[in-house]
Amino acid sequence: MTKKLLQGNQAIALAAVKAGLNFYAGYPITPASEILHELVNQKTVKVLQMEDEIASINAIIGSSLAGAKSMTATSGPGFSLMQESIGHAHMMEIPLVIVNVQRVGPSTGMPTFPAQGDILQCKYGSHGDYFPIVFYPNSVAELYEYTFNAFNAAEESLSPVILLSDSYVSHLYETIEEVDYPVSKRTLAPLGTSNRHFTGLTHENSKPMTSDPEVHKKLIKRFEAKQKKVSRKYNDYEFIENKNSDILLIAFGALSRAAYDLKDDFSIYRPIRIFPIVEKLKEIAKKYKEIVVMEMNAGQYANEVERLLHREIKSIPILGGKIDLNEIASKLRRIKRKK
Amino acid sequence: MTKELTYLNFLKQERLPHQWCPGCGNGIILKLACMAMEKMNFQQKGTVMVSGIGCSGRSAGFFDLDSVHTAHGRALPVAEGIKLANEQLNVMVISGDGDLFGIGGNHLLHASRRNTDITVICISNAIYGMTGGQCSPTTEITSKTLTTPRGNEDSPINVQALVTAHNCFYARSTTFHFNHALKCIFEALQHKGFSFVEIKSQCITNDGRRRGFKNSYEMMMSYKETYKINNSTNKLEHNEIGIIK
Amino acid sequence: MAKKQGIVNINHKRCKVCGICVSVCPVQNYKIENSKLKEFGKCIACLQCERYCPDMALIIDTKQ
Ligand SMILES: Cc1ncc(C[n+]2csc(CCOP(=O)(O)OP(=O)(O)O)c2C)c(N)n1
Ligand code: SF4
Ligand code: SF4
Ligand code: SF4
Ligand SMILES: [Mg+2]
Repeated sequence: MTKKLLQGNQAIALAAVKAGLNFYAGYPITPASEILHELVNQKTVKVLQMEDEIASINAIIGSSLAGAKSMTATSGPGFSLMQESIGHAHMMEIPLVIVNVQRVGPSTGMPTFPAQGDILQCKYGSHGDYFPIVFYPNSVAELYEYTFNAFNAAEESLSPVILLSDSYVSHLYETIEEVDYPVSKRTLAPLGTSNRHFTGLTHENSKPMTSDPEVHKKLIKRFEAKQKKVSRKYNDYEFIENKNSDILLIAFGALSRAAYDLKDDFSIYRPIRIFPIVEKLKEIAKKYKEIVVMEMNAGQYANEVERLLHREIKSIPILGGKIDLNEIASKLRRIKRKK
Repeated sequence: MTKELTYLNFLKQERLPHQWCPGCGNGIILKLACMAMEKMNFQQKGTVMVSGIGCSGRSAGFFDLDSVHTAHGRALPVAEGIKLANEQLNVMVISGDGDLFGIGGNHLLHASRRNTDITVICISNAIYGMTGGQCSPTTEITSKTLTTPRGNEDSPINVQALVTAHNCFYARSTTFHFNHALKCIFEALQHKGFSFVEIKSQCITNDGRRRGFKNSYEMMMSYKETYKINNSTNKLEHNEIGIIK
Repeated sequence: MAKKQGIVNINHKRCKVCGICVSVCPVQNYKIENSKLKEFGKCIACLQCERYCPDMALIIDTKQ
């Protein structure tokens, strides 16, 4: 096995090529641009630098339909611009990979600092009901591995899959093993072979059906079931149990790396497939008196966990892109004392 | 025995009648596209139709081809993605003026700059038909619409200037000038590179009526009166139709 | 030269009675009566109506 020293974004690009990427469209944005820079040098990938992120995602909707495995990468502001079309891609059932390397927002915020402010945008950013599969690795090796998983899950679910990162993880340099993970094949026949109609309108068998509530209900139910089924193949999380602790600390991405330093005092749960939330968390959580979610936003995932577990969740928001272990430790001590 | 209109085989005829209003120009343009495709000897296999959103955006769904109904304004980048991922395909776009010049205007600028080999037919009815008749980027100055009750104060967008600025194929015609419009589409399909055909078309329901036209034929007659064919120029005047390549 | 004659086939399932054919016909072959399109056998097969019908509702057969 070859070992390679790679930056996180380079690992995404390398893995994408190995997973069969044929077509990439994107618009430059810190801290995701290195993916575009890497891919322009790949002979097997058609790369387009588009006029904006809306054009980027729509170009890959087109290319994917035409038979090319397709990807785009961006950060929060660009991800927001893509939201309408992400819902559209769910409705038309198009396999895509969308990488979002998060930075501090809202707006231009702190463009070079890491954040985790797009957690809910992944799940609820578009309109209507859809059930995205979202992965959030926390190391260069994992970015590499989960890029394969994102491509595979996209093909298996015929939906846009989101690979989350942050400027911290994406800009790390780490040594990885260049594994050739298994790759799922295309099942969707390319455009120009039949008479299918791909539409964002509520539809049945290629036919727009915009006034029958039953057709819409059936469609949404089918999407939900399909996404659940495919995501079960990727029930991925990391659990570091500390038998002496009755507090479960939940963290992911950049911040979870800091959380490892707290494993002598707490049990740590790190979701990797952050949506749909891995059901196993329900079982793990039962053993703990207190559940604390620390994240680089004002409590987005904490709300989702609360909804899943039907109990009060403590939230530790880390804002402004700086991870200060002392600050985290003192906040945790306060929670411990109050208990 | 009744003859067969073979070009209609490009349509899913079981979906007819389409849902457009009586007299709407969209149906004429659908037919023109079919005739031009037949002349080109396009086949179902290898041809793809793309539309955005609007009354005109429903066009793609009527073709007996693989077709894509994109988000509002996004027909061009989707079509470009299709073409660039598989250069063998004939990729056509039929969409509205609001879709292509308003919400999707930025893409027109760049698709023409990139000179991607696709053919775009704009159903240019100078109105947002689907949403009830609001002013569109092609609404004439002083024209009354739902959102310009005292007359439009702004000039319509100069599509010719935009498209020809990048030396792309541009043609303008109307639903009245049937044979001319057919020639425009046919030549656009033959053109290698980005080609754009703007066809002035009547929306009787949400535009014509408001402006005092009794029926869609009257609107077509107004095209006859307004537009003169000029096929030997590299700049069409406001009241001219023709082809610039 | 024998004058061309046309046989008009109206597909009433498609016709939306928009009246374009009525106006476009040079020999006034069409009329709308009780919200239905009627033709009067005067067709000279100029094919104008077949072309302009937005609903693909007309086919004109030509006989010499
Ligand atoms: C993002 C978004 N904004 C607004 C709309 C509402 N909308 C639907 S069609 C349309 C206008 C279409 O106008 P045009 O492209 O000229 O098509 P026409 O109906 O005239 O054929 C608008 C504004 C939408 N569907 N999506
Ligand atoms: S509203 Fe206007 S553009 Fe839309 S179908 Fe009716 S006539 Fe045509
Ligand atoms: S033009 Fe077509 S739709 Fe209109 S009245 Fe004549 S046959 Fe009917
Ligand atoms: S073919 Fe010409 S003459 Fe015959 S009905 Fe149509 S318009 Fe009239
Ligand atoms: Mg319009």
